[in-house]
Amino acid sequence: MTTPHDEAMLELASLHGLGLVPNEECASIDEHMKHCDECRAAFAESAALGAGLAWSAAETPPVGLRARVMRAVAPARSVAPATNLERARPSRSWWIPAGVLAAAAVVLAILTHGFRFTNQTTVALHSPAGRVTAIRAWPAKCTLRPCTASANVVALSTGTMQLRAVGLQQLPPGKIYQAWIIPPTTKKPLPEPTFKPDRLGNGEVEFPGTFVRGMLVAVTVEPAGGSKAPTSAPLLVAALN
Amino acid sequence: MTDDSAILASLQSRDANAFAAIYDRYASLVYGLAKRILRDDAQAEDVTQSIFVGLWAKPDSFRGGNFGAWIARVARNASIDVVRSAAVRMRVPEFPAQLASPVALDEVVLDQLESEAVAGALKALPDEQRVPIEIAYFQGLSYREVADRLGEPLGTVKSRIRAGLRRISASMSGARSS
Repeated sequence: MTTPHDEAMLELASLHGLGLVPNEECASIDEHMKHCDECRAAFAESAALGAGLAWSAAETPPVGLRARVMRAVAPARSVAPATNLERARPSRSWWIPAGVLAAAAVVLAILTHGFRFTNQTTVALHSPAGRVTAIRAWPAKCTLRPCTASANVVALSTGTMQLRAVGLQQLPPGKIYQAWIIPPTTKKPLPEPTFKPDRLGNGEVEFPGTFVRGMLVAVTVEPAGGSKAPTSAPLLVAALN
Repeated sequence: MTDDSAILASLQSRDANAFAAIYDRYASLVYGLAKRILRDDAQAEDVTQSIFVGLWAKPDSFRGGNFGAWIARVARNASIDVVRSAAVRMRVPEFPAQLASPVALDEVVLDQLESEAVAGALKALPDEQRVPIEIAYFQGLSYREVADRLGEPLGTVKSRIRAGLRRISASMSGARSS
């Protein structure tokens, strides 16, 4: 049985169309709208107005963004160029320079086989199947001396991030490597999965979420089973700038 | 003129050039809205990238209806998600299906709306209607949060937002018929 129609429901349908209704209240309104033309019309009208409000805030994004998106979704040479207006805008300094797309193939091989890492801070890669595999990558710095390990953090288009490390030492029994996310706002390390390197010292860990600028990804050595807070200094730190 | 059925077809065909055209048409909407909500250029870029790359990876996310209204909601939700997560991490943008089904949007309405006219109509509202709409939409607040923020009764805020929306709509109808 659906909620009966009244002025309050009409009001809510209108607010829902603009996205102003808390999630927990949406289901009953949606159910009601299935059988109420008036509320459905109010919802549609508000949604259209919402799009109008959104358009009122429209602003041309930096040209580098288009390049980043298109390189992530398609082979570089098959995509139509940006407009002249976009090309006239300055690109962001950290963006991969034009003409080095060939490096992506090299980076792909590196990421696939995990032998060594590049200093390239931004990559856009394509899997053989045509699906996006990696949007960007950031090299990690080794904070311990001497330290033979290195790592990259890779943001994938699937909404996950991967930390891929090489040269990791084998740990004694009862110890394990653990990844950490350190948000730029709270600076409080958040625990991510633990992992063990293979016989060659290659380690890999994947965690959900995409990057936020200024975030740090770190690796520490923790007691087996992992920790809720780091118990040792990080040996690898990547700044996702 | 938006051709939403063509957008749907090009998304499903995974044609990179068609996708580039979609980006060229809607990136300013996504980026501008994200920037307005986040007040941060870099985060707005990140949100925009996530949405378009996610759309390419999941072309079935858009199931028809009004693409502009749909992607505006995606952009708003993704931006709010960043704000509310205190930038801990940005989740994969959620692509709502309910805008297309079961509630179909009136595609004609949006096509006829001019963004400047909407902005003008919003600006022309009395403050008691304009302010709650602006802070709700561009700061990502629910009507309950708006009531808390403004220290007004819930019913009052709901009524004022609704009245403001109706006034904008009437203004747009008047502009179209004149």
